[in-house]
Amino acid sequence: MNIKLISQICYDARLLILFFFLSLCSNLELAGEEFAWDEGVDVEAIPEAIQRRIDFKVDVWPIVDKHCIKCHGTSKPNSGYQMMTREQAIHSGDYGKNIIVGDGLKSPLIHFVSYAVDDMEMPPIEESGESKKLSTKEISILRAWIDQGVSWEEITPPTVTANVKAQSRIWWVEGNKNQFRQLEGFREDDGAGLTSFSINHPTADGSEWYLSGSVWDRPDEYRMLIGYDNPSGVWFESGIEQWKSFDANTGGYSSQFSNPAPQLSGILAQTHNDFYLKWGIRSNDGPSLTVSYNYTSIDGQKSLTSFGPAAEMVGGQYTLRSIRPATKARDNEIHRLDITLSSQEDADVIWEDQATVVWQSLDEIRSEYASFGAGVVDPEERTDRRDTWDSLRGSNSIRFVKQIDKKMQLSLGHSFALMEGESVFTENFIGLSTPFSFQGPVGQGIVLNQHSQMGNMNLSSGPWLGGVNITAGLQFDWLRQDGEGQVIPFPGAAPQTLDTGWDQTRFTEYLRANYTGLRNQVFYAETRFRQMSYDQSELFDTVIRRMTEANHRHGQYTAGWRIRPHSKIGMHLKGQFSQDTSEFDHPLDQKFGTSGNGYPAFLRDRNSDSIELDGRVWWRPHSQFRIENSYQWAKTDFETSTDMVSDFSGAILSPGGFIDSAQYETHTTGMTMTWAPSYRVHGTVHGNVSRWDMSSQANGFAGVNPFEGWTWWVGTYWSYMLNPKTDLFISADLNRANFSDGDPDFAFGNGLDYSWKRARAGIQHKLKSNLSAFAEYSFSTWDQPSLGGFNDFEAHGLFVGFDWHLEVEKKDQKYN
Amino acid sequence: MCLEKALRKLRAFYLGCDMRLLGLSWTIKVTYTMVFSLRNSPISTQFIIITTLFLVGMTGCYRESEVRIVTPMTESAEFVGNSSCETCHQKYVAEFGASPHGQFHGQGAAVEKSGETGCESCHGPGSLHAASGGSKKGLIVNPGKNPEACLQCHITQHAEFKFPYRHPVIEGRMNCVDCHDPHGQDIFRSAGGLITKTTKQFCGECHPAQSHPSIFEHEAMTDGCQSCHKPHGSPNRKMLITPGPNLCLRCHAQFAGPSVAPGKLIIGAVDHSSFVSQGSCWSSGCHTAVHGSNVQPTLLY
Repeated sequence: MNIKLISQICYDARLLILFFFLSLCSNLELAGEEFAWDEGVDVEAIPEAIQRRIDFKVDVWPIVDKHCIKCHGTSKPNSGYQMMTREQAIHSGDYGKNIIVGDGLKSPLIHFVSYAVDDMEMPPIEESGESKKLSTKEISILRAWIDQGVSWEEITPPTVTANVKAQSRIWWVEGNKNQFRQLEGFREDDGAGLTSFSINHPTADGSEWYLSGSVWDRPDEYRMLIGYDNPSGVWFESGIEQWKSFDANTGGYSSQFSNPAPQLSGILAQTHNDFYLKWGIRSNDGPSLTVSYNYTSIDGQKSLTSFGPAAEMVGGQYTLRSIRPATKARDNEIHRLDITLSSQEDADVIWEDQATVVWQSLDEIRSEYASFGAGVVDPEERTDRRDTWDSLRGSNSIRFVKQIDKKMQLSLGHSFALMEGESVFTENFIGLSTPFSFQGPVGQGIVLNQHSQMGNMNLSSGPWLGGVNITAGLQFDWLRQDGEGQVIPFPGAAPQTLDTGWDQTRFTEYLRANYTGLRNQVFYAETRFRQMSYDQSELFDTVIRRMTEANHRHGQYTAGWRIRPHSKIGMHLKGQFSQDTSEFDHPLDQKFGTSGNGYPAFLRDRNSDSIELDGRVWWRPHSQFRIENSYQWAKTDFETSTDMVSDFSGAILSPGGFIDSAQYETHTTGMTMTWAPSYRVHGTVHGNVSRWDMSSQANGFAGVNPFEGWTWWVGTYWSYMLNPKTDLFISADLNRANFSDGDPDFAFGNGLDYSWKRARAGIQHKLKSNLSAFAEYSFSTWDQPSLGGFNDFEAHGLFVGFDWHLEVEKKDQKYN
Repeated sequence: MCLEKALRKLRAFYLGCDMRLLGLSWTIKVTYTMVFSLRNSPISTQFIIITTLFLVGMTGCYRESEVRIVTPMTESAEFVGNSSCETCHQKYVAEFGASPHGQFHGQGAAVEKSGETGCESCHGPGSLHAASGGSKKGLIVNPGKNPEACLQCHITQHAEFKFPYRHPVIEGRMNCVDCHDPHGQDIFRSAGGLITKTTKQFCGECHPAQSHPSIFEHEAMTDGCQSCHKPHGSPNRKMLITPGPNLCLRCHAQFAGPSVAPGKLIIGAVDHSSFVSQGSCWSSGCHTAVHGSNVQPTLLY
């Protein structure tokens, strides 16, 4: 046999195959023509196919399962027609083929479910005349499914799953336990509990019951969630959670002070409670409704950044420093009710309306502890300032999104809100070392009303010209606020009346464009503008009377370029410039008992210019290694102008005019790397270094120093698969900050110097296919020389536990 | 003897890898032969060569289908592209182009399939999720519950969440989507997307005591909370940009007049020289009501 002969045979074979294929196609075509699909079929009754890609499990199976499987499942199917496999769905049945693959219009299945053939309505019409006909959308989906080739996936019975992760922990903490609690977020007590548990119970109709949560042996830490998820029908979810947050209690001490760091006794902790209940209805065709109620409460004590005074000896003289820890006791409750009505996610027009009612009850007492003798350890006096706030706020927001055409989408929104709030203020001074008490000012009958409206329009369009996408937006909002009340400056004094107002109008405009026409590149630019004006009035009886008219303008310009020249490397550059300008005019400015000028009404202008440059590069030489580096530089210049200020004698304290008031500058470099040198080893390394500089015109005055310094963070995590059943891991975190305080003799201790080191190491071993045990050692240490070591701690933790997973196949008659 | 034991362990290690996927049997045979020929070399040379080959060999133990390097990932899932997601999530796909994330949305099937941009950049490969009919049971990454997906790109914010004073995102108490709308134009929520609420209104949902209206307002609140706070985290208490009086002196500055003695700091008409040396403006017991006061116009309490 020569080569020519072989090639001839191959050529003939190809022709034969081609001929056979063409014949097959023509036969199919003939078969289609011979099938009298429209005889007795009311074609007008058949809905159009839905114009999107159909997913069998998401779109089709829920319809089949809901309407068909009861009679056409596995056991004794009516008319011999089964729908458990693709083959059965197409070919089975006493009346021949029910599905013409690729042609829903000609498929008997569609005719039957559309009620387009008399006496073949599926599901059948009840004897009572009641119809269980599929919705138009459901039929459209089935038709599109057949048009798109009758995709099919294996149907598996629902499986009930359960997961439990239990843990026991032991901590050893030496040093300041309050600081440990604040940083780590939990108490150092030993304990045991379920860190997580969950049960998922799906049902055959696609809905699911679920329960999850965590619970510890302490009653103040738990979380529980229960719900029923139903893709098309009633669903609900309810959750309850309680947890604690902790605060350190060292105050504003600095190691440069001669006093020891004053500390409060006891634990500063707040208990957070959260409860919610959500209930809703989803429907296949109509809108969805969600009603949710949420209750949040915070109860306890936290520390503040405002400190009480303590005296220290400087150069032979008593000098007051505000270093004693101040606290805030809170008893806050918030109730919130939301009612949301919305269209389906996949509708052409999206709309949503949300009505909300919020009731707040806040009761807070700020307590400042003070001592006035140098080196006095226990506080001698406490000032309590109590603020209560009760308010009711109602709002309604509506949103509408319309896909105008393939390239344009419009969204409109509107919301309005009404709020009424009441407040009471009291101040009390209480002696601690020597018993005494007296009352300061009282604010009573304080009522605040607020009314706001907002309108919003956004348009997004594109791509045009081969890759230009444009989005634009406009928002208008208006706010009116009125306040009134009385202040009694001291017990027995005549009340002074308060009457204030705030009338604000604001416009915001937005335009963004990007260009994606060049391969693997995106250019983008955006501008954002805001114009705001407000009229403010503060009429405080014989204390101050002022009216201010303010105009504010904001402009922000951003441009960026993202390029991926190769699949393994990418780069992103971004620049942003923003400018804020505020002008204040004061038609009324009266102060009684002072020289008549100065705060609060003498700022004339307040401007700031910001520039920010951002660059990042990532490199992924292969799928096991990726590194990304970033650098960011940001700088803001602040400028202020004031009126002239003079004292009672007429001496000029400030001539007024513009002054470059401050500068803020940061440099930040970051790195993140992920590497899997083998299938056994996986690791990440993160690093970040920042330089902060905040300086103001007042630097150089006693007590005002530039805030300049560095922060560092390095974090790494590595895991190693010892064998198929055992994993090891180790992680480490190092945080460091070092800010100088250049004026130790007079300055408050605003310098900052700390390092926080943490490490973890552990092992996880699979005892069975569904049961793992784990053990972990954890280490955390805080070192803060700037606080004289009073906040330092060293902690070691040990954790052991297990992780259990269970799957139970659910018996379901429909599938058996 | 030492060398032979090491070689046996080395070989056992290599053979422990899944050879069908590694395709390294030939390489290992060669390596084994080379190393065995060194059995009479000095012990230090043996050690260096064995260690080097061990590490090189480990690097060769790639099993592409199992090494998950770029988070977010779902075990055994594959990328399916945006169009698959659109089947059910039309709303998000439609709005995504208008979101800030949309500006990184490249075009072309290759880009979509790679998962570098689009839905699967943040949600991980979606094949299992789609095949299951939209199940949420660990078959798709939900950045709304785990911030890892967000932090893979927002590395500066990742560092900020590691500061001592931070929003508890890493700890799982809250998530990025509690404050940001990653998809676009939800006017009910604060976002970098299209125009939405001010940050003051939004932060106020969790911090009502700091954001409710007051008789005497601090005008700086109209600029938003981030004027003074770093919202992700800070080395300073209460997540402040700076803990000292410079924070306030950015705006509250004025020229000193001729009648002011050197070293005196006048703000308004009041000599603040002794006050600022006691601490920051709000921490030294003076302007404690920095967010607004109902009784005192200069926000003393």
